[in-house]
Amino acid sequence: MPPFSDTQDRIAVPAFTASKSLAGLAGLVNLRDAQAAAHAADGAARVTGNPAIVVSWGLADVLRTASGLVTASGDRQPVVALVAVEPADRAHVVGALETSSRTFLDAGSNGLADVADECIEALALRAPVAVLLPDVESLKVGLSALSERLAAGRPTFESPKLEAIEDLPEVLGELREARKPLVLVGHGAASSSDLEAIASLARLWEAPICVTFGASGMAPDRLEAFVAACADDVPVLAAGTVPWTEALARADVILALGSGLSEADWFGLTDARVVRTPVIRVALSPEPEGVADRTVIAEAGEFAEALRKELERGGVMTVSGWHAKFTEARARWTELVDSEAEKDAQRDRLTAPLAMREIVSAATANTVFVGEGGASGMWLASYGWRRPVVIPAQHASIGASIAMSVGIREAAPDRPVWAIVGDGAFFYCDRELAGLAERGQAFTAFVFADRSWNAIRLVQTLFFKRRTVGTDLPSVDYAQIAEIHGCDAVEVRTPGGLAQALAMAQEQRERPLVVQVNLEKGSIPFVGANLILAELDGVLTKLLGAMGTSTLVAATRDFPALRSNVRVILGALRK
Amino acid sequence: MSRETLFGRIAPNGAERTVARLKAHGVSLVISIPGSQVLPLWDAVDRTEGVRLLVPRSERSGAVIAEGYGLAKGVPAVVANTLGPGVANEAVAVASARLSEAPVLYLAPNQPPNKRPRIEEVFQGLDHAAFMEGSAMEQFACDDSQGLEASIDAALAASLGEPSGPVRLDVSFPIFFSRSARRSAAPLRRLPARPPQVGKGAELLLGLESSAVADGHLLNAAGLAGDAAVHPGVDTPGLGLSFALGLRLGRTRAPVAIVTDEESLLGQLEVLILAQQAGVKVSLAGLGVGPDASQRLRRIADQTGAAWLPIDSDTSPADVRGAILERQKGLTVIVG
Repeated sequence: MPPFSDTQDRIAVPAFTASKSLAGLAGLVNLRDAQAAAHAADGAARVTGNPAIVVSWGLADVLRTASGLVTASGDRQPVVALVAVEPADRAHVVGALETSSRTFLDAGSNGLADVADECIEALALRAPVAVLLPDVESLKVGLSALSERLAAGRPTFESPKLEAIEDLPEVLGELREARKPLVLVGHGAASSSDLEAIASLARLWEAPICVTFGASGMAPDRLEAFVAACADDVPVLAAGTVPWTEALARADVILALGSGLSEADWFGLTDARVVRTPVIRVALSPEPEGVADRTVIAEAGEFAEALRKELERGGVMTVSGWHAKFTEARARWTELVDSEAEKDAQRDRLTAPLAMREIVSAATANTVFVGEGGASGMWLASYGWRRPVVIPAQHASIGASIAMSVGIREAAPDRPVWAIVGDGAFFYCDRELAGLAERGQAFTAFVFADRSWNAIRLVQTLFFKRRTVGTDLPSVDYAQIAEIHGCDAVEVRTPGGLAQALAMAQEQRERPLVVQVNLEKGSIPFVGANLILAELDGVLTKLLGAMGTSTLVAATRDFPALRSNVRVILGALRK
Repeated sequence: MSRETLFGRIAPNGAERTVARLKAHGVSLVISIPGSQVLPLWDAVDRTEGVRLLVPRSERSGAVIAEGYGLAKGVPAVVANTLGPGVANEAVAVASARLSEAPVLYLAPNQPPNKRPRIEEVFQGLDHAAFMEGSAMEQFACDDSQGLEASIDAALAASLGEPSGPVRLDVSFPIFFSRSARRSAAPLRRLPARPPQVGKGAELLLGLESSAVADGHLLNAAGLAGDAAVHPGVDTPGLGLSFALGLRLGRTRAPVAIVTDEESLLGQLEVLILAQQAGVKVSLAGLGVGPDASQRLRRIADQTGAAWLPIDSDTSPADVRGAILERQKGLTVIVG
């Protein structure tokens, strides 16, 4: 059993519910829907790195909670679901709870007391936990006991002692000989490691740093510190962008720090193990190994520091100009995406690239952006990469952003929270806007209304000869609907209108603001190609064989940034 | 089923074979939220006369629509959401259909077998069968293209069996994309539809948001106390409107009404919009609600394209019921 230290200062442990029989319990934030409550806990955990709790009672709410927990579980967020059902319903929920959590604990008649230690242990390893309690009373008692225990100090894993790095000759040999090294920073490292040490290693090693989608949602303060530590001489590359893909495809050794190396961390480079580069993973637990060739059990920052010292002693073999290449590539990418937006600005057309650029520019440095798995999240990934951007990575779920924002709002009350919501996803959790309004909480949702399932149009563009079946959405007045939910709302159709709405969003507000951004149809996200190729992993080789890569590239002819990304990915696939 | 192209006949892909088999069994409605893996099915539905694609605004509402539809029609709708979170979002609806014994076929693309041993590392990886173990009545899997038609037959037969209920069929998604000339489909033995399980011979089909929402007073005021009412199998607010739209889509004749409350309605506005897309005329009315609520409801009607039904507490129960009966092919939403 791993030892734990509870010596840190008290922390806030937000707790959420949608179950009527629990409403009014001290410390619980009430939502309308139990799936949304799970997303709220997920959002809170993502921005703080600390545990958050969702509590549900009854068959319907527990199943809804399990549905939401799937997203948290995919990205290994420390969310605890405390749930209970009538005895007759137990059989209906156990499978969903077991599958949606990384650890399932079925408490007996003593309630939480019997499983509290196991629950804390699982959380320390960033594993979402579901605890099935016997009845509603034990939920209330369990919530109080768990909240108190967690608040006493963040459950920390006392990391295993790193073996002297010289005792890992094979690992060290591979890393020392690297001529094109790359450091991949996952959520585990981003949320808890010494990021200065990682930046120092990359600087000495002349290695670019690729940040995974999961890591991009690292606690806001830490991202700022990390970007500052890397300064301008260590290129930090954002998940899904062209330079990120290029770096992964061209590296000769990948040092993966705190990453589960799931497919979401590789986006588009997984099919048939196209990345054949040796991958050395440094993590606190042996599983999951993902595509790693070796796993070193160690704390990521500690390992980075030890490796830096070794390289300092023995010298680095990195080829000249290796990381500078990516500093340049990043600059080219930034220029490319900016030119897409600028082109539209010159024509006074409100398109997704222009809207995204303007929104990111208008946000204060401490704004937390929240996105989701559809096109809106892809746009955010294209423009918001130097910001804390919370996007479900492993499951790329849609529809969670408003509910996640509720949790982020509770966990980080001093930060502006701006969500980018796709029109296809708006109705998953729109009713939660009412709770934000009732609590008088500032929050801004930009609804990207292009009247289509845009991420799916991308697939149809690439693989279905542009036959866009079923992807048109009806025109809906989202601003009016937001007002019905008690929010302030505005609808914009022009770049000038968006500028006015952004000025409203920047004001001190005591209510949520929903900005319906009416976009011209037809823009395709730049980083989406990676996501789509990852989705089609398993048939990709066959599809490309059948249609020919030139056809695929030709299908992107109207979208230069996308074309550039597709070319790099196809190059990696051929490697 | 094969298609003629400039280059000759091409063999159908797995998705085209799936839709053809479903149609042969009398299935005419596919409800789906997109993901790359289900797009071949969309393409196939679009090319198939007599099978309709309904794209809701959340997996959950789509799945509950299928529950109402199955109960009213006696033939399952097919729910085909994308894998992983798309399937997970169906959970409460699948449990609901099991409790109401509604025939529904949940047809999900699944990760191919070689990826399942490490499902947690796979993009959108989820062990669907384990997740739905307690909710679905029965589950099937098809990992072999040759067995596709037989798997569909078996799953549909189970959903229409005794008892009827929600049945899941996971199909390894590359099958949907794959064209293979070498196949010998199992011979078709078309399944008999079940008689509708609700509203047989009734003058009006009445849905309830949940048993708690519709009290006797409201039903009396609406003149509906004598009508047999039905609610989703999981008796909880938040599903009723989808369920009622499913009843409407499954029931070709006779009016359908739903009694709900304002909070439940506000959580399901998407359904009012979807109903318009599906060609169902929705009428909305407030009964016994205050002037503020009435104003809000009128605004909701405006924004969702629903017609406003001018009834109030002075309207006699017989007149309220009469107004509902006039809307033969519509869906009347009474908010109390």
